[in-house]
Amino acid sequence: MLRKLIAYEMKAYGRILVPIYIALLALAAILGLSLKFLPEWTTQNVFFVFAVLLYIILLLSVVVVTTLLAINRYYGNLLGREGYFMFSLPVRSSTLMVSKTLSAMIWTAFGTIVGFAAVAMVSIVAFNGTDYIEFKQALHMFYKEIISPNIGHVIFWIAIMILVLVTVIVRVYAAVAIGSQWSGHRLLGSVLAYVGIKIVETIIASVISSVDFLKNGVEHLMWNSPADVNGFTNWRLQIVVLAIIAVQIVIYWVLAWYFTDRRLNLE
Amino acid sequence: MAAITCSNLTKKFGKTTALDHIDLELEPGRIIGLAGPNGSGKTTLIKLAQHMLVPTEGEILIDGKAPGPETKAHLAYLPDRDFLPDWMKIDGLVKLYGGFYEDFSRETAEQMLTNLDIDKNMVFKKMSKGTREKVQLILTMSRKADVYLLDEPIAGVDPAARDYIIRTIISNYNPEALVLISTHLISDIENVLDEVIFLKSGTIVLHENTDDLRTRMNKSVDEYFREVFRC
Repeated sequence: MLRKLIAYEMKAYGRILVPIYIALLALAAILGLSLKFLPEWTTQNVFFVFAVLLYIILLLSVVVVTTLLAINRYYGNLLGREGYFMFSLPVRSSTLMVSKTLSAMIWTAFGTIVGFAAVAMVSIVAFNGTDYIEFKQALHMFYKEIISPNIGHVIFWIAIMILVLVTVIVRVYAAVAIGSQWSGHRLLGSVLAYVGIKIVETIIASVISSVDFLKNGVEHLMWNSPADVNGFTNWRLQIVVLAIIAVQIVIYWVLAWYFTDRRLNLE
Repeated sequence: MAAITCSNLTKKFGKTTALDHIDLELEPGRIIGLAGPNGSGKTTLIKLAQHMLVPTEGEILIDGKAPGPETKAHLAYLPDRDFLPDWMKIDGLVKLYGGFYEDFSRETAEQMLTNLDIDKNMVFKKMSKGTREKVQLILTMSRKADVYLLDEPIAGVDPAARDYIIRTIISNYNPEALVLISTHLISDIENVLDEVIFLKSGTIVLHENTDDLRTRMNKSVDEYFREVFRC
C-alpha cells in the first residue's frame, strides 16, 4: 500500500514540478547557447537579460513550489476535502504520514539535483565541453583530496542533512495537524502552531547548547578536529548529535500522529 | 454477527454532544436509512465507523472489529462532499481508487460510466456537480464490500439524478452486505429501505422495520419523519 500511496504522491507532485524542471533545464540550455554564440553583446541584449531573470525565477520557484507542495499535500490532501478519500483507504494514518514524508524528501532531492544540473548546464553548453573536462578533473580532485580522506565526516554530515530535512517536514506536519483542530481559520492556526513550536524548540535548543560538553563537541565536529571532550571522541559525539535530532523527529512525529489520527478534524 | 455494533457510543466535541450513549446493532443484508435533521449526529456516526473520529466513550465495531485498515478494506464509504483529487481524469480516478481496494470491479465501474455517457478523459473538476456525485457513487458501488456507508448520496442533485443514484445503489450493492444510507430526504428512498433509524440530537428515537412502521402508524415513513421532526 505504501508503494501505491507514494506512486500517487509522485503523480501529484510531478504534474506541477516536472514542467518547472523541464522549463528550467531548457532555459539553462538556451542561456548556455546564447553565451556560446553571441558572446559579444549578449549581456546588453534585452532577450538575454529577460532569459536570465526568468532563469533565476525558475530556480527560486523550484524551492518555493516544492516547499508549498509539501505543505499542501498534508494540509489540503490529508486534512482537507481529499482527506475523506485518504482516510477511507485501508491503511494506517502513520502509513499515510510516511508516504507524505518520503515523497517530500524525494522531491526535495529531485529539486536539488535539477537545480545543480541547471547551473552546470549553462557552463557546459556555453563552453562547448572544454570547461566540462576541467570541471570533471576538479570534481575528481575534490573527491580525492577532500571527500575520500574524510569519508566518515562526510557521511555524518549527509546523515545530519537528511535528518534535518525530516525534522523540518515533520515539524510542519505537526503544526498543520495542530492547526487543523480549529474549525475555521485553520491556516492561521497552523502558522500560530508553527510559531509556538519554534519558540519552544528555540528555548530547549538554547538550554542544550549552553552545556559545555555539547557546545565544544559540535565545534570539534564542525571543523572535523580530533575531539576529546569529557572523554568523548568524534564518533561518540556524532552519535549524540544524531540522537538529539532523532529525538526531535520522534516528538514532532508523535505530535503530528496524535492530531492526525486520534484528533482528526477534517474540513 | 452484526455488521455494525455500537455499544454506549458517545462522541463529544467540546461541550457539544454529537452522539449520546448509542446502542445499536445493524445486521448484514439490509438497506437501512439513517434519518434525522442537520446536526442530529448522522455524519458523526458514519465517521466513527470509518475511524475518521475516535469515540469519547463506548465503542463501535465493524464485523466485530474496531475500525481500522482491516475494516476499511471491506467498507465502502461515500462522503457527503467531493472527496476525489479534482485534477485527475476519470480514467485515472478509476485506476487510483480501484488500485487500493481488492474488492473493486473495474468492469462494473466502466460499464456504469459508459451507461451514463461519462467521458473517461474528462477532468473531474470540469464536470457538473451532479456528474461528479455520480462518478463518486459509481466508484463506491463498484466495490463488493460488506458494508456500504452512504452519507447524503442524494442531497444536492436534481430528481432525475436522484432516481439514477437510487437505482445504482439497488442494482449494484452486494446483497449480503449492509447498506446504511444517511439522508433527510426520506420520501425519495423510503421504498427501498428495509429499516429506518431516526436520530435526534445524538440519540436514537426510532429503529424499526419500515413495513412494520408504516402498518403501525398507518402513514408513510416520510410522513412520520415530518411529524417527529416538526419544528
